[in-house]
Amino acid sequence: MQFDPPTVPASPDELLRVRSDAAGQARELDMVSAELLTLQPSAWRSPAARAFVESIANVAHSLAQMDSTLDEGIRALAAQP
Amino acid sequence: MSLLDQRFSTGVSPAPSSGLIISGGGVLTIATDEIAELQARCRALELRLDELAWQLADLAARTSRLLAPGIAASAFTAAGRMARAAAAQLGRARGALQRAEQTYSEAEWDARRRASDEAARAAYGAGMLGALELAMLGPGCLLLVGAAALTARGPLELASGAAARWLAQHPEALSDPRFLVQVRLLSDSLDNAGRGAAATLGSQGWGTEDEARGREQFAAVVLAAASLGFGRASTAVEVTPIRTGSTSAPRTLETLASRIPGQQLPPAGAYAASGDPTRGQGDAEPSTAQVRVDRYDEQDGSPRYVVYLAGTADFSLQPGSEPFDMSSNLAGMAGLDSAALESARAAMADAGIGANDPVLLVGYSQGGLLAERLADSGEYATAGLVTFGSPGPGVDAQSVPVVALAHTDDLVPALGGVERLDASLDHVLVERSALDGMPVPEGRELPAHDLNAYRYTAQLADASGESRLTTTRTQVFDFLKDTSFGTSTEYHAVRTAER
Repeated sequence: MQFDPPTVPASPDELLRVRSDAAGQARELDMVSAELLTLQPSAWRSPAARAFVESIANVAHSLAQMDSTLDEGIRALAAQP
Repeated sequence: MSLLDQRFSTGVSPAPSSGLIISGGGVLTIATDEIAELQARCRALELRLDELAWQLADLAARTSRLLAPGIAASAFTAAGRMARAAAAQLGRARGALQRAEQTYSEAEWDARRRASDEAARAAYGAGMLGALELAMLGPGCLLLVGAAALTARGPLELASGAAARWLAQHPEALSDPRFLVQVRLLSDSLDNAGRGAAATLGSQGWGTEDEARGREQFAAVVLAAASLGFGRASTAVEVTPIRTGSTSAPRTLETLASRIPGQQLPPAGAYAASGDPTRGQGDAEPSTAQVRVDRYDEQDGSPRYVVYLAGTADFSLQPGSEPFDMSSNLAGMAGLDSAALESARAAMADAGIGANDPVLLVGYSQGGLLAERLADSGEYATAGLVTFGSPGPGVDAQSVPVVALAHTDDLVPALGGVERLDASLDHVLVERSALDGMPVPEGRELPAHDLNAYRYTAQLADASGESRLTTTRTQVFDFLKDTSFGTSTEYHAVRTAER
């Protein structure tokens, strides 16, 4: 497991707060992603409506990539001694 | 409780997607409530992603302070950038929604305009043909028409009996939106049929290119035939206050709908939500009042009024003691004075409403038509107008904020024609299908005209965040914003002989 070497001796409390904030932001991202998937037009059909659905799919894809990137950062933090 | 009953009952929370269609407000777009809701939710998500981007940038900075540049800090920096990019993508998705709204509106307006033009041409031709046949058959035909008019009661009774039998067998017909589109077009084309007939007969008698005027003339002809058969309906009335009490200032469209007199009251406690202590509490019988006038005083003592007008109580063509009957309906559609209109004026006079006192007019069905007539009369300082299922064509007064609720499967507002859909400045039309494709409940000829169905639509309109509806709704209720409690008087009107 790779980890980032400390620049200054980090206080355990501060590191805990960073980890906790990162976890909170990951949860917020999950909630935004879940909410995004409910944005589906049902009552109308048109090329513009299809463009909207495609845009939402693109955003969902971006958020999935963001989720794995954020997860990578959180794992790197967790690996800190 | 069935889904239909839920929709028609009150106190049901609006579904996330209400199916409201909103037009007017000075903008030539028709927004479905769903598009407006999606736009608002997209915007909310954009803001959350922007906030997340800031938090991740802060997290990256704090991580860099604690640890040497490495995986964690660069991952948080990258995630923050992604959040910002995702928010921008959502902004583009909102742009697609705006285009969808525009496309929907253009297609809808175009379809309505084309259908209206075709109906007008067909009606003109039918009018010419009818007049031609009349001219060819000559005096004999005129004698027959005259004889039929003199004995109008027989044909009218036969026609209404046959229509009632047919409708009993096909209750779904009157709630079919496809049929109701034809009713709207027919209603708008009456002027063209009249002009076609006048052109053939070389007469300028009809001579109107105004859809509303054509409808008024047609209603006047039907009223004249009914008068021949059943006797002329008196417009004289006696109005008596039958109940007074205290009430709270209305803040929602649903409250306005719940206070319209003449309806079957919900069980005790149901009125608690609408803040109306004068009604409910176990009342099981429909109120016999046709007009209700509520007065609220400003801190300086200047009065503000809300007038509620009931719908038709007697559907017979034979004028009786009930002023809110079919003859008043026809007179109202013909633009003439009626016993129902006189009842409203008399109740307003008894309540002390002066020409300069601000008044909010609220009407259901025929009451909506009356409210429109009163607003256009210039006799009162109309501060707002709210109608539920009105058969009227809307109002001309541009400065009055208007919210009109009409079900697309309700026959009654369809009688007002197509142009009532073209709600103009400050006038917002909220449409919805009450049945939404569900079968017509047994024993209910016009379920989409049910006041409870309109109360539910009013709840959805209260919850809607569509900008034009929000603006006009605020304007309607703003004139009562400095008031809280007032007095309420219900009036019962009876038609009397002409004096």
